[in-house]
Amino acid sequence: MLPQCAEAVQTQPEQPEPAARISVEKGGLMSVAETLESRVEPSSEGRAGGPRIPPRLRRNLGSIFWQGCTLIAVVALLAFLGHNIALNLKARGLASGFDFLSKEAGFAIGFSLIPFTETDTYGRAFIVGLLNTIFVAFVSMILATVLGTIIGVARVSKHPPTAAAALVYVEGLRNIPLLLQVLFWQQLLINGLPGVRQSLSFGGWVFLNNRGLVLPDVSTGALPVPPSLMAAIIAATLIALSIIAFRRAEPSRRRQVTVWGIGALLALEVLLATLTVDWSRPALTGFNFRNGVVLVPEFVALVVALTIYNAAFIAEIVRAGIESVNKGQREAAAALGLPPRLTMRLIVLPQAMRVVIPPLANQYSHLLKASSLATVIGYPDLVNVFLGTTLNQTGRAIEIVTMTMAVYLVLSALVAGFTSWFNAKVALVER
Amino acid sequence: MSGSALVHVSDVCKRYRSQEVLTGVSFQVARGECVVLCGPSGSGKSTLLRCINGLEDWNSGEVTVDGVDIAANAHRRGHIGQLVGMVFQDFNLFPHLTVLDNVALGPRVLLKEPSTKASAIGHELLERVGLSGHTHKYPYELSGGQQQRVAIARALAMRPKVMLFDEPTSALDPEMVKEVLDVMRELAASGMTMICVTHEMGFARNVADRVVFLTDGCVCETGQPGDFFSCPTTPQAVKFLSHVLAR
Repeated sequence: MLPQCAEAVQTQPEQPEPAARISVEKGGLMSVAETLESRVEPSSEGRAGGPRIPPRLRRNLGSIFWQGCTLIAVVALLAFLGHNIALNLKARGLASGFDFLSKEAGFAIGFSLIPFTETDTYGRAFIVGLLNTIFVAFVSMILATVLGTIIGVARVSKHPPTAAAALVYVEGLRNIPLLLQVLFWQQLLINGLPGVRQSLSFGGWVFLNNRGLVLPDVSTGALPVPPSLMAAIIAATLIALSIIAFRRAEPSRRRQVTVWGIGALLALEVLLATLTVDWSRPALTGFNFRNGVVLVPEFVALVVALTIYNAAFIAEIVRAGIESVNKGQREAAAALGLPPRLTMRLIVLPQAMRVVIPPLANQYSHLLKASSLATVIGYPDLVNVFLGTTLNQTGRAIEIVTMTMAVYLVLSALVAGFTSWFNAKVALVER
Repeated sequence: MSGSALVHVSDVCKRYRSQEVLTGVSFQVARGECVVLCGPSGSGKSTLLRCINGLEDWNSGEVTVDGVDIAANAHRRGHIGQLVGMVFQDFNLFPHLTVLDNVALGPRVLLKEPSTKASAIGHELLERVGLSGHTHKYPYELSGGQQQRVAIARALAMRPKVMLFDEPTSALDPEMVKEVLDVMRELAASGMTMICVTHEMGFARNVADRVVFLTDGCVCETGQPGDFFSCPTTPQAVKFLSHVLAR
């Protein structure tokens, strides 16, 4: 205790440092105000004959002054907190800095998209957690959007049992806390599914048991040359055809032509990849599966919970979008001869999009952050691996919490940025 | 007469809860005929029109177009769309599609025309309604009159046997009414069978072959426009015309 006290006393004289910074800030601002004043003076002198500041500028000076005060207060507060943190860490003999990222982690991670062993670094553990978070959130977002759209459309169905079922789904699932749903699905998957030897088989390629979902693996060996050459020739032909089609198309069709061109290329890629890559079929040998990718039950439970919960909200968003489309649009489509299904797909949903996208962005942002509930069922996401295990072992709380917060901030900003870009595109087409 | 008629409406009754909207409407429209439906507000003109293309259902009576029972085929929208075209008061163009796509949508999706053929149909019809320079604009870039002409082209693109107009000029500024009526007049002259609900008595007088006057959900009087406007026989028609023509 004593040495720590002595240290604290010793550091006391350093206290005035932030105060000095404040005075510098103030000086800076004052000089800005002065230069503004001096710049104005000549013109106002010329007109009124006295050193007067025009009222508009005076008001601006007032707001600059208050903004400056706020800035100084915030900087001072941060400096104060930062200083105390430094003091406290020192007092407890804790190190700070990001050097821990290159040290050996010494723990294993149950599920990772990139190879990870106990001898890898904390930095790599961070990447594994980050990728796991992105993976689980991305898969859930797509599934929730698909499921939510289907339920949203069912919600406005003219067929009463369908609409009622959708209503029960929405009201039932959005009113149960997500945490409980995550725990429910985890328990159900672990206790409700058969063991490895009694796995549920889907066509002999996909297996489901209480240790997870087993999918066929791809072995990414070198592609045989002839197929890749063939692929190149077909791709070149497709690109050439697309360009010709693009040139010939009506301007309003060009977007469609582009989309189809890119779609055809992607389809070709996927087809060739499926044909040329070696799919290794999972096989039960002894007590476990060989040659398969296992999605752990925690991953499956989290995806199911996030999908089902968020789909309930997305369904309501989609319903609101559908109902926002003028009734006259449906009548016009019906009068033209479009059956209800085509009317929904070609007329109503495209117009609903522009209403749907902003709240959908909100929901994605929520889903991303809610994926951190992974930690309660032990799915190794960023919070679990980094904020949990890594923090426990290294004790670098400030660095780790800051990095984790920064990751969620950046990912949320990316989601928001993408959706607003998409929204602008859709809005441009309609208005 | 009844054998050659294209549209048969016989004894159609419709109730909204306790409100009687149509109380036994019967009339026929011959091939190539242009009929104006008129009558005081609430007489059931629009409802009757919406029954003819199956947008509304009704309680009793029968509607056939070109021998097709509309009630029995109401669920086969694609089938009715090729028989009956409709133009709405509020245009109801599809705001997310260009003018050309609005017109070409029907041929492409429902008539299964190849995309180039559908576009060609679109261009041809837009030229016919005088909008060939606006094909790649979006509906919001057009005036009300232009939008309504696109709506007419869109309905024509399905090559219907009969066209229904539900107060096509009521939502337009006065200076745009003429351009829409001109298109309708040209259409009537080309031999299209038309049923128009309109308050444009000048159009009824000059273009229509027959005027059908509705009151309280049934046909009150029907006749040649010349006879109807100069010497209406029923007191209701006299009263209606005195209101309308006094404007």
